[in-house]
Amino acid sequence: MSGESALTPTLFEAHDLVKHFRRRGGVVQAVNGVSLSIPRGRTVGLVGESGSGKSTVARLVLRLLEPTSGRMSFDGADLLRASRTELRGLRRRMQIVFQDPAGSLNPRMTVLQVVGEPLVVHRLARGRDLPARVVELLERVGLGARDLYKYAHQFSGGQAQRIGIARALATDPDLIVCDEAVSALDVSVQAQVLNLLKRLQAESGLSYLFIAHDLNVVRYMSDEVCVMYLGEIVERGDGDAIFADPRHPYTRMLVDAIPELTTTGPLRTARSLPVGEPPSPSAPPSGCRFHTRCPHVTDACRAAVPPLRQVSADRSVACLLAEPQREVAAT
Amino acid sequence: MTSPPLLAVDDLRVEFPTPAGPVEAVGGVSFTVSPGETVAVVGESGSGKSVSSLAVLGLLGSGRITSGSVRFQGEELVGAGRERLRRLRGSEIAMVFQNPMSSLDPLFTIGGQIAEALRIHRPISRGAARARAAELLREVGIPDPERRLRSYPHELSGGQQQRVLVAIALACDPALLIADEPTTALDVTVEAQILELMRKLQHEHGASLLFITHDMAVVAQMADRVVVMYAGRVVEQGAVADVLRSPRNPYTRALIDSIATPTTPRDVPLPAIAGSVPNAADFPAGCRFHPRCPEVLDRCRTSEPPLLDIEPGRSSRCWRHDAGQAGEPVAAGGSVPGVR
Repeated sequence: MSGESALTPTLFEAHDLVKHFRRRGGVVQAVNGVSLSIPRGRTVGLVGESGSGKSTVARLVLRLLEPTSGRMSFDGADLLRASRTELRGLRRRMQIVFQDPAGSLNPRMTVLQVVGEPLVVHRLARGRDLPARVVELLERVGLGARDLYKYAHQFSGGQAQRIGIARALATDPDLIVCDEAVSALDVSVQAQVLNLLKRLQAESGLSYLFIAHDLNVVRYMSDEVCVMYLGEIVERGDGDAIFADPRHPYTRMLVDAIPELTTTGPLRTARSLPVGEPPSPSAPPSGCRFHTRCPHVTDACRAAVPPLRQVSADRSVACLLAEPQREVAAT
Repeated sequence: MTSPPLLAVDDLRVEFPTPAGPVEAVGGVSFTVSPGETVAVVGESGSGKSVSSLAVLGLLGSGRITSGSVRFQGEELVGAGRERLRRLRGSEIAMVFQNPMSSLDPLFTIGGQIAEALRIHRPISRGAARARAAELLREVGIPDPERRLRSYPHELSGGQQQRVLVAIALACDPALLIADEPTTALDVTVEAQILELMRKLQHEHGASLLFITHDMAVVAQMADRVVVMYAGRVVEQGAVADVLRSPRNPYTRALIDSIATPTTPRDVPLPAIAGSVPNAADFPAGCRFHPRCPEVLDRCRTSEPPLLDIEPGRSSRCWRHDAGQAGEPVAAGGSVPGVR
């Protein structure tokens, strides 16, 4: 899978993104040197706990926030140096789906207005054309003409999220950022929306930046998974491989912490219990940011910031203790 | 389990007033909790899982119990006076809720709030209450408890706040602890710690635990028995191992199948359940799951199946049990029980 994706052309690239917020009493280091590469038609997943900076990354990617430093390119164009006109064109090709479907839809607008708005703003349809285009979009997400004149409150959470997805699809984007897009949905509805996102990707070659705190969902959706901790990517690689053999101590802690829906083995598995809670991004620990919770911490970890190093063909780990090539020997 | 149940909820019905008339959120729910047992009530939004547990405590707000019985240690709580319920809450029956920040008073110190919980129910001195509060904080794993007693809630992380609430719940050595989504607002590494803490303390104190959650995986980690609710009804109950390994009700089965696990193949669609969770204001006729059920029969559309005892300690609400088919592999469902 990784060899294949190496051949797929890159759609979006971020290099060494930094976002620091000035707050009373200091600086919040929300994102600290994150690099990402999203190939065309692929999904890159971002997983992390609160304060990991994953939602800030979403906003940086769409330039809803200005980065403190770093570089970003979209389809070869420099996103940070683009003129207003260029940016307007690029924005059409990048969209976002938010967590709270009902809250992100204007309650006073009909579905026609909500989904049609981006078409009007980007001058993609008007007049009699508009309702027809909106119906087309609604049908792609499993809704239809009968829903055109309804309001957001008349829909269930899953249906509202479909409307959010239809709106994101309106401008025929190449990249959709999904920020906790199924987290607020009922369990029995999550699978529908995940399946819909995958179907749309297969139909039109969309790329996704898929952000969630649920590692199981991120693994299912993503070709590559990036694990974030306190503003940094600590491990990246194939999701199945990361689950089977986490190489960063934080990823190991995260995988061990997930309650398991075991139906084949003993129900209660004895696993190592996580320690501590994520420190505040306004006062991150020195050296490796995970050193305060790491079971394998050494003196070196307190002093030096470990770089994200490639340890095997499709795995990078930011840990001084990660040995390269172990994976090759194991397989 | 031959000992009499600590808590017995029988045919409980709860109604809420709405502008369009009263709506029945819980329709005839029965379950028991034995001494020392952990029972999980699992369901999605609108299933009535939280309302059922709040009804036990007499905390329904505008809602009211229209019929049924809630017996705690043999005593009928439906119709019991406010004063009696207030005395029970926090002493014999304790609670932990989802959002720790809104359960703690921001204006009082942690020590003050634990001491208050102790002094309301027991005549002890301020000094003794303070000492006991420090002891409780140590027991729930809060470092430097003497110093923490003087902290305000906002000075603590979400995980530590939830530990404090567990400490308050344990203050009077309750016989029953009701936990309503106690880890839903927490990060997964913190959730694991709080679940472990609750398990350890429950074991040490010998309390019973009624655990309300939407998360089947949390059920697998915590409970001895599980009560699965859908649209105000119990649809299946039994031992956790049995229900999770071989769910007999089509809803339970479809729900478990639809959840992504670490080994779900990425290249095939998840077995999703069609449609959406119904509102209490318009629950479907017949079996309430029938519009979404992959195994629906004609009769499911018009008449509702009873909750049927299908084996000792196991019950399920499905007309297919009548036909002797439920729990067998059904082609329409595409799922095979026991194999995942």
